[in-house]
Amino acid sequence: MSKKPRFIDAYATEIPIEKLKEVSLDEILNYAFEVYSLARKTGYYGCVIAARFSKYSRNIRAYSKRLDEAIATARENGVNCFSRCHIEASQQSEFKRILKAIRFNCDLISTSPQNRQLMAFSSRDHRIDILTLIPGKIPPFYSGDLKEIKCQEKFVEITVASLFTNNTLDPHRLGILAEILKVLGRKEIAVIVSTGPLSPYAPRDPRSLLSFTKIFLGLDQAKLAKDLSQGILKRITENQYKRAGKMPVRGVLIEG
Amino acid sequence: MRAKKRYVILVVESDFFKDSDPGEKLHEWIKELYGIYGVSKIHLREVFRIRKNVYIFSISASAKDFFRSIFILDGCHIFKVIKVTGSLRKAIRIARSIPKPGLLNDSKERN
Repeated sequence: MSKKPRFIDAYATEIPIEKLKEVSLDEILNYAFEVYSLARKTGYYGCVIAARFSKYSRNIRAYSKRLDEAIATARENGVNCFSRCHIEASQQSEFKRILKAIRFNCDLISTSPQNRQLMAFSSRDHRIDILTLIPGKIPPFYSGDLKEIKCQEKFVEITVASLFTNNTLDPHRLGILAEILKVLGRKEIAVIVSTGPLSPYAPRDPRSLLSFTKIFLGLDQAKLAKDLSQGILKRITENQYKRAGKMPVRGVLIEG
Repeated sequence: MRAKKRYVILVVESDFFKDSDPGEKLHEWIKELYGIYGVSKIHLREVFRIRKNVYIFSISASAKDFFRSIFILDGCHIFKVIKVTGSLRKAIRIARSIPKPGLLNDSKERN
């Protein structure tokens, strides 16, 4: 068995919802091929293509399904890419409505909670896999939240896009993240680093990300490498089993 | 005592350095991230050039992470780190085995 880690870019790029309305399945498919080839060139094994939902509408289910279908077709053609829905609602009621609609239409569900109420909800809800931290907009973490995140094996994510302002690294943002990650590291919570919504897609070499986060954010390199490869792949596989009805509860897999 | 070194094999992916030197760009990034302290710690030096786009740089072994982390500033995919080795002989052998640009892209697509 190969020991080389298979890094996954968990937030490779983002397709805006306005685009999902207009573009055809083939166009999404071509876009997935382009993103994947760039990710492979940079050193990733696979990538996750996201769609961002901030408001509920009746067509949300159809849009997320369309994205998932295109990604599934790409996967059948040998491209290691997965679908992800990123929810960015400011109210819990709207958040729940979006979540209900898209739940079975993507491989990963993530959110970037903007207030305390959403932070408490997203760290406890089993349907959410990733909590994305945006420096400057991070509500306080309480010990109950951290306990739930760890217990449910969720991921806390930092994006490369959020570290930059006007194409330069923002030391203020790095400082904020370093403080938070110190606490998360102490609690042994899985942290991942991904590209984020950069346009055009500009992935960084995963090994340079490991070194960078070790020096600037104090993350453990070996643990981060494991979470960025095996960890996230395991979560995606689990979700795929769930969607196929093979995993009624976490830890129970129906074989055959 | 002789300082321990590491040899980094870099492929320049674009035509970015037709007139300038890639070492200058790397120094610029090191200064941007770590300042003079970084330059002295990493101690970057070009030791070998196989073709016009394959370079071997030597760095201080203790500053490997410092050097790798500067590629977070490489948003345009100018460089690709192929391998970091402990001996120059091995680095040259690996660098010589890298196919030429056209062939490199073809083989990656096949993979």
